[in-house]
Amino acid sequence: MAILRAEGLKKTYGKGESRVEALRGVDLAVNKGEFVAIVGTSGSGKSTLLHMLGGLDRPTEGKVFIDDKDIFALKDEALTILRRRKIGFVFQSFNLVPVLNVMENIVLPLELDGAKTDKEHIDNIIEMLDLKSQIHKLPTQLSGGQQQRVAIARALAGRPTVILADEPTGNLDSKTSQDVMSLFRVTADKFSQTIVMITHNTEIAQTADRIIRIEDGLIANR
Amino acid sequence: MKVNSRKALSRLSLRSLLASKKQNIITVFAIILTTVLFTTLFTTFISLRNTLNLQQMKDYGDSSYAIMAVGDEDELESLRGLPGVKDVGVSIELGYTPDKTFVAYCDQTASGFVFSVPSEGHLPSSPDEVVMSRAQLQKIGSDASIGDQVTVDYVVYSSDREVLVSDTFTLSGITSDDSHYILVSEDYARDVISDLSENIGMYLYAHLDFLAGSEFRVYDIAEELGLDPRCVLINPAFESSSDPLGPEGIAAVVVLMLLIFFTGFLIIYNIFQITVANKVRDYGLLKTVGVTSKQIRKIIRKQSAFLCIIGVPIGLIAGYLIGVSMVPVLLRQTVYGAITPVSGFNILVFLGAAAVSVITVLISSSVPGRKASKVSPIDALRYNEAKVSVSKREKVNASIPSMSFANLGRNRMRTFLVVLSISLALVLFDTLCTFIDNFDMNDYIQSHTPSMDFTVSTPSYFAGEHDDYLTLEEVSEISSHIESDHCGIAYMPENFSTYVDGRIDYPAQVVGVENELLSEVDIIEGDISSMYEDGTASVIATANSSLHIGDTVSVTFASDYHYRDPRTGTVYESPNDVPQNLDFYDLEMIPVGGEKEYRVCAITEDYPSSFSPLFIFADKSEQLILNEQQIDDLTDGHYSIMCFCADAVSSEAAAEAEAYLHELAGSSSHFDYTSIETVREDFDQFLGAVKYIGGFLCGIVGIIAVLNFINAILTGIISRKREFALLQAVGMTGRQLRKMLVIEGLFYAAISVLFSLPFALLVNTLFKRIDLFWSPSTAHLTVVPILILLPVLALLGSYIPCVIYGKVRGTSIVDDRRTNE
Repeated sequence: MAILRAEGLKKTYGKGESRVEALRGVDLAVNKGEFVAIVGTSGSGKSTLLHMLGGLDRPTEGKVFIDDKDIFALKDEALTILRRRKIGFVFQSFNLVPVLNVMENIVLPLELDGAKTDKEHIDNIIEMLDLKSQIHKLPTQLSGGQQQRVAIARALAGRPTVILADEPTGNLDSKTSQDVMSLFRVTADKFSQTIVMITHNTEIAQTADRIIRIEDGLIANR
Repeated sequence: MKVNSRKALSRLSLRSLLASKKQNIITVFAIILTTVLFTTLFTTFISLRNTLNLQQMKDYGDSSYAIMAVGDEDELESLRGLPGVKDVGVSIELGYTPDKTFVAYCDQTASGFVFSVPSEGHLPSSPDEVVMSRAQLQKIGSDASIGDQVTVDYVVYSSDREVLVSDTFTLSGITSDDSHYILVSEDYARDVISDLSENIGMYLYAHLDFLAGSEFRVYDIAEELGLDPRCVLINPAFESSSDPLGPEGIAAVVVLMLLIFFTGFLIIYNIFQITVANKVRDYGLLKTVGVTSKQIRKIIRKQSAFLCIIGVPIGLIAGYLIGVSMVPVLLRQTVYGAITPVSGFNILVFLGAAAVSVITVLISSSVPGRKASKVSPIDALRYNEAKVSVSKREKVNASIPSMSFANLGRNRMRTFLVVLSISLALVLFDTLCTFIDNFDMNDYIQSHTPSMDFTVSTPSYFAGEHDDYLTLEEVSEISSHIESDHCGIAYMPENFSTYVDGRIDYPAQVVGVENELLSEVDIIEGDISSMYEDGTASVIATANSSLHIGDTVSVTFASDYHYRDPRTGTVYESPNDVPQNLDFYDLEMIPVGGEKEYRVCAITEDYPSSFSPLFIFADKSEQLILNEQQIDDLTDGHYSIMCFCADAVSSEAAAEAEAYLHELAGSSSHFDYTSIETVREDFDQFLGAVKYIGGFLCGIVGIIAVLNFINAILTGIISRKREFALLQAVGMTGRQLRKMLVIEGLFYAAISVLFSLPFALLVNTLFKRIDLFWSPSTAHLTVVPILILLPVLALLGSYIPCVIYGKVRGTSIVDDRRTNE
């Protein structure tokens, strides 16, 4: 059953001569517990697609469904809350809040929601991601790989419907990249977590259950 | 759904606040300044108002809201405990001494109201005790101490005859000189009243103080007690029309408040705007993890609130101290120069100033807050302040000055705000300088100095009170010390009881002068030669009167009054003749006395400043100048010396006279004088106050401008650190970079000066029209002060960017690039 679905997604930037069609009609479905990698070259539209899937940006045309609900039917405020509850993000540049320590970063989305933190769940995540000794440190005191692990932990903390990862290994060396990918794999298996990851690195993409190639704003194969 | 995210939001607000300390210091400083300005203004305003208000009460002699004449003890009792009534003081008024000091019994509460709580000793408790002030003792020629015997002569209030009483008491206490009362004991007062079998009229008074907001009930209360509303006397100090600061004063406070509000808003808005702009990326990132727009606005609001918690209390204390120190300076500009200011400490002032500051901060942070909340997460991921549109980029060439100039255009709002705030300081400074420059001493002296070298009288005359006069012996003693070839005395009728056509509602203001002084009157129409003739009927009228040359005017000097019933036309010659069933309030008073007819021979603009009656009469009163013989005839000798005026024969003689009079006025509270020297002192004091207050304002606005400038440069550098690293990576040297920043600073200065010049001219042109302190014909406008400040601005413009850049740059280019990623 498709837990995340995109129908006829189009995104156009600019007007006249500078008009750029980033997405030209993308249809996509991701099943619960599936780990999907979207690969493509720079400028192929993969980041734009991910932003649409996560409700960070609105499409020019088309719809995105999470749990069969059209997310763009929501107003901005409600969309933000949906993001907080249903989607976990992992970015290439980690995007941790620099003034909060590791633990605070991880529980931030939960606290913003006023939800009670499930301590056991969080402890599980921390243990799995090997962050136990780091929880009181600030992001700037961590290495790139460690920061990305914190970002993954943050994404997992709220038990999201789907995790969207945007080039999660883009800023990491190859050894750390491998570690992070194994973590994604374990997460998908252990928590039956749906993950959509974009990357330009086909080798990294091999970790996923399915690879979708995107070229010039269209899906090339599935 | 309401979610409890307070903890997370508070943590986020506080942590990110602590992470940008440099910027916060500037913000807190701005909040402190804004609060200082508001508190200073409020404290000064309230303190000045309280002081003048208290002085009004002291002049009036009572600080209770209203005095009510009551019939008996029962009525008095029923007043106590009425809703809204805070305090009831009781007095039994017996009469007055020849110098118009009341003799009365006052209970503890009433003695507080009438400024008569003894500073030494106690209130009279036995019939032979009395309480007086030092000034009252002096007036009856006694230097008694507590326990000594004093004899008090007074006239008892009586509707039919004057009952003179002379009693000897033991002085039981001494009050301050503010007291208008000689206090006796209740037993004594009741004895006096019961001894007088005649109707002595109303004698029992309630001094009422109300809870705030209940004052309006006073007439209802009187009605409930069945009292005539005319039995209620409201203290004039409480009447709204008599605000001590006057409408101009209140308008000035409002304008100042708006100016400060605007300045405060400008700087705080600017700082928050810049801070938010720098954090757009952070806010966008927060949005990706699910922080809603509302929560972002909340974060910014929390941050402003936190900065207020630090800034506002410091501002309140500093502002209060400055305000308190400013009051005496301002007071010196009023007729109450010598009085001790009342503290403006009032919790409402603090709450008010704090509220206004917090509102300023919240309003000025809400606009940038809203902007931040609208950031789309995607834009935030891409956000870079250095966005320059394509068409703009084509115009930019790579020279350092053109890069600097282009930098100013990146954030036009910020540039505009900085320029505006520097310009505001410049315009204010220029206006102040123009004001001081144009403020012509000779002009001032001419308009404020008496036409003659010296005017000598009592302090009471100069305060416009006219209840203490010089005697002929004193004048001749004074004149013997002034070597003069032109001097004379100006007189006024006793009690001002002169009326036109025998009408009580038509008073006449009359001054009689010795022939020597007639030449001092500036005649604008007519001829006064006939006034020197014996038995002449010619008089001078002022242009304020309704009289014209050739008019005949009949003036009555009232030695007595008759009472006329307007309904029947019956005239009662004595109050005793008035039937019991008639109320005095319903009768018209008719002045009775010597009546003279005069013919107006000349018109003068106004009384000469050397001998102008300083007591202001009703608007419609006729103003006349008579000669000495005429005033003597009119009043039958009942006239007093208003003042003595003299011109010195030489400057040496003037200096000697000045020294003599200075000594005389210093040694006795009975003498005072004005001269060019005293006016010069007043002028210096006035100009000093203008410089002090204006300088203070300029200083504050100037500091705000510099703060804004520092802030703009600081944020400009911080937000572009990565770009600078890039520039350096492609070969720009540190020197060149610094040069770019310096030129940027100089551009700010230059644009501000260009911007402020037309505004300064405009403001000064408007100012020039006010014929208040300078003569518009000779006033000249100047922008020189702005030009003088140019090098200072240039220095700041080049120095500040250098210092800031030195402080914030990283140790290496790689470092700089990393900090921004």
